[in-house]
Amino acid sequence: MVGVRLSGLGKRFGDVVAVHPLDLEVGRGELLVLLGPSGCGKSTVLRMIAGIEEPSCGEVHIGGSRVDDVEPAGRDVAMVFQSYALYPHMTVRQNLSFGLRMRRTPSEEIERKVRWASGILGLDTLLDRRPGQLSGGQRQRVALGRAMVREPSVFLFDEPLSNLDARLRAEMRDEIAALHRRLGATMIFVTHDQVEAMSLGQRVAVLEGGTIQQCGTPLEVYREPANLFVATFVGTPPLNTVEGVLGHDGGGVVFLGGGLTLAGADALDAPGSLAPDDDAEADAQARPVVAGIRPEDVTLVGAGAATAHVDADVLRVEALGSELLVHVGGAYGGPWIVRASSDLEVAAGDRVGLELATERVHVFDAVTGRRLGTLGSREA
Amino acid sequence: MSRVRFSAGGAGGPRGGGLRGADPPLGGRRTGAVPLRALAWAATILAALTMAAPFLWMALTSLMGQLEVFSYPPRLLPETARFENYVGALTAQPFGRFFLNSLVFATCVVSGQLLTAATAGYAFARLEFRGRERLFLLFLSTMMVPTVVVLIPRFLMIDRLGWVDTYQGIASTELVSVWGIFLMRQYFRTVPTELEDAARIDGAGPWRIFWSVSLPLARPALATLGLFAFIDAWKNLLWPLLATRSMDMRVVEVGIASFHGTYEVNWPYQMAAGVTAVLPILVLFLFTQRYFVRGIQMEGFR
Repeated sequence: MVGVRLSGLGKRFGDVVAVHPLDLEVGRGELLVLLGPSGCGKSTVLRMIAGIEEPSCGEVHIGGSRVDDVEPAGRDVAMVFQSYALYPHMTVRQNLSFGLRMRRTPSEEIERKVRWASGILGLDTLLDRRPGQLSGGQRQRVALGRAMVREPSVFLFDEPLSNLDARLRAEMRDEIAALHRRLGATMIFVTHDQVEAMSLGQRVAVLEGGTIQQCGTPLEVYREPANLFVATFVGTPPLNTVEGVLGHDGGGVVFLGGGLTLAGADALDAPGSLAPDDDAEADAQARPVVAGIRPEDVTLVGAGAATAHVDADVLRVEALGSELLVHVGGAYGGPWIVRASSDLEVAAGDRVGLELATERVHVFDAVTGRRLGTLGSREA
Repeated sequence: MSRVRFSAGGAGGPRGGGLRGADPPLGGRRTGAVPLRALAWAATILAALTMAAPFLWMALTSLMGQLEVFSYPPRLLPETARFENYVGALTAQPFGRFFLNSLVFATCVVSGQLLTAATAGYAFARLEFRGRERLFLLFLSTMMVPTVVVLIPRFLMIDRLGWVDTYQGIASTELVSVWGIFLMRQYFRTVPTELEDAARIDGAGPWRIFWSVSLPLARPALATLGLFAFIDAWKNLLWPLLATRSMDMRVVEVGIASFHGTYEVNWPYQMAAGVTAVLPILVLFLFTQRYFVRGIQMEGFR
């Protein structure tokens, strides 16, 4: 069952295309995260779903009905804004009940719903305060409550946690996840924070330049990024990359670049991969690519060790307690960041060897950025 | 269309702000800040005296005898305070009626200007329609037309309607303030659009958003506008003088001016009536000082 369906939905502001026509389906009861950097068009998409931004083209369907000509109030959506957008002159109770009053809900029902939402969100004692007398976290709860009391079929969240400190953000993230489980409502959550996206979303749609780059489960997006943008945007610390060419040595594909020689399997292990074939071998030899590897897929070994693919210098070590983030630089370019055990004794200035798990090395077309697959392991 | 002159009406604002500005926490303990602070105080006191002097002079003159006013060398303090001047001045003409007329006039002007400025200001700030900015510029350009230039056309209008010497006659052409529209537009533009978006999603229509969300948030601007409109109407002399004829319709300012005859001026009576006329505004000011300051800030910073 579809909760929200967007088909060919796009938005132009004069000559500037904010959102290229896009198609997206959000299942009923699903929590989908729209993830992307500032200015990628994700908030515009959300505002078009809410009806407060008029699309330049395309259709919005909510619960099976086309709603792009329907006023925001008639779309059965509730939105939580980045700035919370609480009415400053109203008390918490009035803020919570405003939408219900606008819909002429009987006062007993309003009271019941306000009590229900304030009970869940721990706002019982704050009902007579004004937003100005609340902390950031409390305001956020009121904004959530205002959406909840309406019991809409779709919740829209526009970067609601970005004004909170790290601890409160994690708390509110849990609360929203719990709320989603409890209400089972369709939710679309916009954020630029990939940790938020990965931890909250059942699916994540990554946007860049007004286009959906990839839509999939958090693990899919992390492990099989559709292109170089998704691969580098998702993941902290980001993907380590090195430019080079993809070749063939008879035993399989070979990546050559930045002093690295990475031998892969016979073909790139991705469906429809562009592994060099005989006809285009000459071209393929020179095919420019970008190789990328996650910080956890590189192992630090002794410099010059037999298993090391390349040697590098340690530039900086971030000791995070549970692990080390080791910044290394070498002939391949860099700096790269390598995740290492906190037991490892390593310091800036040390010379180390880097061992790459070739089966986890992503290869991207250097021109289009599209992911061709992973190198794969030759032994396998 | 009246405009508020900030140089006169706003004197209390910068003075208050200046005092606070000159008094930073611990600032006085730094040796370098002492002369600066003293200078700020001196300038403030001087400005205060300059503003207060005419009022004090008016109050002192109101207690003098007719001849004492012209004594040489000039006297600052009356020989004996003649409070009977007040009784004389206020009974020489029907001042009770004048006060009522001024109150009705000012109330109509305030209500009218609040209504028109709030709605038009909101429309210019938030509603999207063709030619909005040009129309607004056209409105603004009327501020350059001196009030006296439009006195005669205004009079001809109310004369044609048969409204000369009536409340509707004096009030009707004062109900729109372009300055007020400008003030309200600027204020509404500062209200986050997200609040209105939230209200739209909550199910509020344009009128409901205006009435329940935007207008309550514009209360400081409304208070400022109302205050200035009241004072402007209260001290308006020329238009009520022109638009009214009978004693029954005269306002306080016209009453005060009538002590000023062609051949004779009763200064103590005029000043006594002046003091009485200023009192309501003074009381109003005491309770609404912060709106004065805010009005000047709004004018100055945008």
